[in-house]
Amino acid sequence: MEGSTMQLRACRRTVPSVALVLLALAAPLVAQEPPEGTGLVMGRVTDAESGEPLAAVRVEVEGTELGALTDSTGAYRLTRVPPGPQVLRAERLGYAAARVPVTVPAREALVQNLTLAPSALRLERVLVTADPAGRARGELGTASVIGRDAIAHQPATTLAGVLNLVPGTPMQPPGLGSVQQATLRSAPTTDFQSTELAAFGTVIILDGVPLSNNANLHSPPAGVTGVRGAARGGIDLRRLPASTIERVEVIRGVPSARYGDLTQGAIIVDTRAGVVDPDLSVQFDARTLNTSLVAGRGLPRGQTATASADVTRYRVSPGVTDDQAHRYTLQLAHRMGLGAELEGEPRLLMDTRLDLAQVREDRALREEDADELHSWNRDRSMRLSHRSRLRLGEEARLHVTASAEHLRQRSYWQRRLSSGAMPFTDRLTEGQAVGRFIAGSYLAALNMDGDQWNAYTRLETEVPGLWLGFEHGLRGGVELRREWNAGPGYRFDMDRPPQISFNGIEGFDRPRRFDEIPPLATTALYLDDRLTRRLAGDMLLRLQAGLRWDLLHEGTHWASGVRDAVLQPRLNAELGVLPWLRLRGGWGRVAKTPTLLHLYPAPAFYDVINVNWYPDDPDERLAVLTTSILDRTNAELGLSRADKAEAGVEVGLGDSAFSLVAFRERISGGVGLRPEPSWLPRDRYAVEPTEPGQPPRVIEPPERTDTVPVLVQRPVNNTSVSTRGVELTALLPEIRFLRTRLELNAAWVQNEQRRDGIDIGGITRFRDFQLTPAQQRVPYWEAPGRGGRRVLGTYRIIHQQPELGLVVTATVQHNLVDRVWDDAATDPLAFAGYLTREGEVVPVPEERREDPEYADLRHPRTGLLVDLRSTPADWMMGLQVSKTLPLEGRLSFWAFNVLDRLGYFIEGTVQPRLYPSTRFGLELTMPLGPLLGGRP
Amino acid sequence: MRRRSALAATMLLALAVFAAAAAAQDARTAGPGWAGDPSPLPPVGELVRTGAPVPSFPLLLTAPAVRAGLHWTFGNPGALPFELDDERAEFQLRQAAETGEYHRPLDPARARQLTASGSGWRTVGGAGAVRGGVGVERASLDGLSANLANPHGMSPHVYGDTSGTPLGRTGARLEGAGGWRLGDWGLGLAAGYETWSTRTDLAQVPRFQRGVMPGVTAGITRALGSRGLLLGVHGRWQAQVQMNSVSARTGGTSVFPLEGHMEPSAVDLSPPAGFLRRIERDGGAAGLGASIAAVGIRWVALGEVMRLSEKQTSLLQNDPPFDRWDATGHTVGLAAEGGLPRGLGRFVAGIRWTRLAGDASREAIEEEGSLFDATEEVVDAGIELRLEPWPGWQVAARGALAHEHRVRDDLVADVGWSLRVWRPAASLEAARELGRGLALGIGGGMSRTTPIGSLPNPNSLGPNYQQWLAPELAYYATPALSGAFLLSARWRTPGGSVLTLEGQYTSTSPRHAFLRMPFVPEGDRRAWQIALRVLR
Repeated sequence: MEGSTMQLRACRRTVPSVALVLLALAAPLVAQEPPEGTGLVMGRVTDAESGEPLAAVRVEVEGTELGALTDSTGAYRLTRVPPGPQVLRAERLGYAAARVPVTVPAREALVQNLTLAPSALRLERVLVTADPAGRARGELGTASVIGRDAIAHQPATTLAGVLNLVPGTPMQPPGLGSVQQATLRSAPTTDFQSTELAAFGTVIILDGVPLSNNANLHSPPAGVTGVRGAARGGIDLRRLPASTIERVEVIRGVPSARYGDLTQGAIIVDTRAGVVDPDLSVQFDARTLNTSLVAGRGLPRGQTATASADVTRYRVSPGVTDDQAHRYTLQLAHRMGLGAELEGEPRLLMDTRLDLAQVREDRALREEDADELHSWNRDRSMRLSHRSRLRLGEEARLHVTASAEHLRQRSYWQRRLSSGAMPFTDRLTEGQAVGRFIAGSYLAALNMDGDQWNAYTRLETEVPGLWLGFEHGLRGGVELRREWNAGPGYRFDMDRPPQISFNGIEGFDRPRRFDEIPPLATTALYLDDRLTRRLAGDMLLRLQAGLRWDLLHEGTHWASGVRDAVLQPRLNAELGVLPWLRLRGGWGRVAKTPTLLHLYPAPAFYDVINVNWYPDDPDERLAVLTTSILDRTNAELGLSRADKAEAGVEVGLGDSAFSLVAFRERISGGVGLRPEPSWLPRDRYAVEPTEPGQPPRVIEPPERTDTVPVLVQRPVNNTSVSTRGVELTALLPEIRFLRTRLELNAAWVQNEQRRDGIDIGGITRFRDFQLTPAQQRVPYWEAPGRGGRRVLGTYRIIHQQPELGLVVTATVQHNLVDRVWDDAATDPLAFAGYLTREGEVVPVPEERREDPEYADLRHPRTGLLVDLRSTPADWMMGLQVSKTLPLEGRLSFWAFNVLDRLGYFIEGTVQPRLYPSTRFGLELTMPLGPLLGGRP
Repeated sequence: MRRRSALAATMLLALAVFAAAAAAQDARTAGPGWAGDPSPLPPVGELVRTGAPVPSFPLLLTAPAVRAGLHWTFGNPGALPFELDDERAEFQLRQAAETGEYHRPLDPARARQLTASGSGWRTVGGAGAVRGGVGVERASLDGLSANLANPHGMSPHVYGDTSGTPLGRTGARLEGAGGWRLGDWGLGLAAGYETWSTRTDLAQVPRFQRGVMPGVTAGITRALGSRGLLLGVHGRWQAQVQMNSVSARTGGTSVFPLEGHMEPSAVDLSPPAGFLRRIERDGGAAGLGASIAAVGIRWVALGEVMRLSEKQTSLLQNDPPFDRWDATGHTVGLAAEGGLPRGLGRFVAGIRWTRLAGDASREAIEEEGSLFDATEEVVDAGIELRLEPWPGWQVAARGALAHEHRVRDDLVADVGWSLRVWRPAASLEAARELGRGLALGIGGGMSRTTPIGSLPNPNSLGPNYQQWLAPELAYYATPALSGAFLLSARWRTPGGSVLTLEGQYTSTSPRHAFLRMPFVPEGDRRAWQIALRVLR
């Protein structure tokens, strides 16, 4: 232990040194000459309909950081392009993106002119699904790239709807009804924490800056439903409207060392910014009304300013309740280039964004019982972010990223509760006190106010070069984060507590201020290199090797000691065996910081009743309680780790593509709550009556003393999750006669989760044990495993009539396998031992568990004798039809679960599948430019 | 100019969508029953009992003329490339309302409807043709006792409830057809999808209904000879799923299953009880047709066989017990289109005969076999003439005669009825160009319902029968007279677009014969609609 502390302190000295080394590494490379033997691609981009040259079009080589902007004549020029088969991608706001496969010669210039169509629907081929052969920028790991065209064809109101295009993601209708989170490569199990862990380990990067949920303390006390929060999980995706997203990259494989604070994967979201004619979009369905407007214009001296706004109203259960959710977002983006331009790139490019978002939820039943159950949530976020890119010499770049974000969360909940005579105390310190009684019906209320702050800075150098026969794209950087919560926390009137089981022998929450919880400070250092080399013939080798070091600091600043650190090597390799065949593989370690909620859990308050005297006359009543406070913090709590490995093959022939990836991932040290048995002494006093109208007198000493067993739920790194699976994506060639294409994607994912420590089965069993002094023991189980398996196939049929500007997309999603299991759930002999009332853990050898003396311990852990949780295969279908309108407008009709399949199945299972019911809606997108006299 | 007219079209469409509206039924090519319907969505294997029909107008200024053809009359998409050589695009916004006491028990007392739709057709390349449309609708239905999409179909498995709370309906309809010519062969596919959702708004007894209806038609045609002989075969598939529920949340209600002609027994619902009904329909048809040009007229003939299978259940589980309705039958039709002598104008005429027979069973008493059967047939004939008697004038007349014969027997109650109804209708419309692209039109029409048949004596049946079933039968058995009036205007913009505005008013009232039917609804029924269209 001491040794590890010394080691961590050593880290404290090492961090600045390594950071300097990383940055200094770039310096000698800056002056290097451009390498020979790499390709040059140049050409001109024009409007497909008018033939006019298009300026400000971003042309890039897919899967690399290589890119350039076209000048006023539409010309672009890309140097250092690795020879061999590549895919050029051209994007400009207001136009459909174009992807053109090219073969780059080694020592000659390739002239490739490109055209962009104002409306994707008029293209010969519009990509309305995730690009199966896409690559995230600068990444080699498995990724899905979802462009603007595909986003526009999704009935989505948030990022979650866009992610329906990712293999293995169940289709969901659009909406804002509840917290939405992204879980990559995971299958549900019987433990909701498995899903929570997967969401927590998925990082969302918005316009180059990670969003973080680490300081989210918005977790209601047990028993309070209706206060919705994403604490312990990922960020709530409802903040991110689909209408303002330009591109999404979902890295499911091994990310480069540039990306950290994750265990599952990274979702990189670029919002719309740049010069764009005003674009109005209206979505309407029976529950949703969504309006968004995006407009951007050029300003003097190479500046652009863009504004995006989105207003959405969503009715959760129309006709039944008046529950509603509203979302308001506004983004202002400003880009400015300074200094001399080189191939369209200014010396200094600055990109500043201001994001404002508010999600409001109001839950109320009808007017006549509005005072019975009512709740609201208000999440308001403001983020200011800035990215600068400085050109150093011809090839090297220095990137500076900084952001400050404030998420203000306000929640209110009230409900009429009924309880019997219940003694309670509001003591905030340990000791004995006279308590009060709550009885009958009362209106409980809870306020929960959090103010989450995140500060983030990254300094990165990027140095391409050619040495040792490889072309290199070296990146090194340092990241600093500080996250804290300044809200007043959760508050309630102690006379009207929100927990019905307030008599806290299990421990329960007291009001707690969030601003008393220390901040979280982390540092990360990374070095990443992309290596490309042409081998014999047409073979092309690409490697991406990196090392990342994430450090969790002891204190509240980066200068403080290191509490935990994880070194994360990462390697991806891709071998282009033939121009149409690529083999890929990757291995790497990733790590995730624990949340403040786990680092600083609320102390557990246990109120043991010593006297409970409850006569009819309220003045004669007496309650005496002893309050014990058990600290739940764990000084050893550290980062979760995950090892990711994958291998795959990709085939690209013409406009068809096929990709098969097998992966295996293992999270170790995931944060979970470990129940630690303990006990509290309880003195039971006799009382003697005094005068009428007066409470009785307590007779000392106690008439007897017993113990109350308790479990302290302590956050520990005790959870391991093993995931393995296969992802298949195939984009088949177009049947030209029918103008129809078929895209298939399928994912087989299996999760196995295990949490070290004891397990007590259902909470009711232990509660009965606590309340029954005559019961001397209760069984426990050891590290029960849970698992889930899902096989999901999605088939998309895309029919297109460019002449009519018509695209019809029919999506069939097939739930081939859905199964969850829970080890030792139903076996009465699976118990590992028993807990005594004094908190002693007594194992029982397996061979003795059938002995008569242990008959009282032989219960199924879950209380159920049936644990067959397999749901038979079933399918559902979605439909979207898009059609161009005059003046480049677009009208889309969409329907979810078009055949209104129920998906229910009860016989032989305990897990029915219930598909969401049919939903349908319209979306109208109308560029306002032509109406305002702009581009026709 | 083109930009200005396009701007107008776009703004109108945007307005329509902003108004959250659109017309499901208007997305298809509207027309009288005898003229057929090219859509893949009209019910297959079903003869809906309509209310007293109102006369339809040719809509000289606002709607395209009725066409005759294997596609236009009988929906074979394989004939599209042979029968379509023009182009049309239309956006429409329509507000309609209906009110009055003269209606059946399961009709809404009042209905308002705001619809918006877009439809069109055109040729594609040298050998293809497409037709399609989309529409959405927002409607409010007051005093509606039926929480069903179609409570007046042939199936006897129908129910009503007493909650009577206003319902809001949102619906959408989408359809498209494409046909391609490969030498003398034509291949075509038409697909349609209709969906709707109906709900009450925070009622004590919420009622929900949602439904989907996909339909597909595939057709092949072959051109033969020099006289334009076109032979075609087609197949149609259509399904419908409805989910209906009535929930007693804070108030009570009674649901009345109206199966057959027994005295309906109430299912009383008290909070938190509910009544659920899931209806699944599956229908199909296969047809053979031919068209040929002779003596200056295009003749079209077709025969089609069809079937419909309906299952209903109140249980959400695997393989639940179903109540069933199965119907089979056929349609035979003939249509003709041609010019009038001396170039006076054109005519279209058609006749079609549909006969369906079906029987119903209930899972609970399946061993008893069929508990209800029906044999129903409808003959629908009509003609439309369009004349240009003087320069600047257009005159159109439409005449129709429909005959229905329905025999329905409840085999459990041993009660049945048989009814024959004659429905002649005629309308006349005139329009005049006033210069500067402006034209005005006016029209009027009448139709009459003349029934004859035998019905059960409601006085000998129970009070629930008298409330729910007897008024409907009395409605059918009572002569009625409908009148309609039309005003329309058309303006051709300088940019080439056409704006039209039309208003229609109709009124229907019973004309009691010497024998007044007991329980017949009183009063009259009035309806109006205003439609604004942009045509390209």
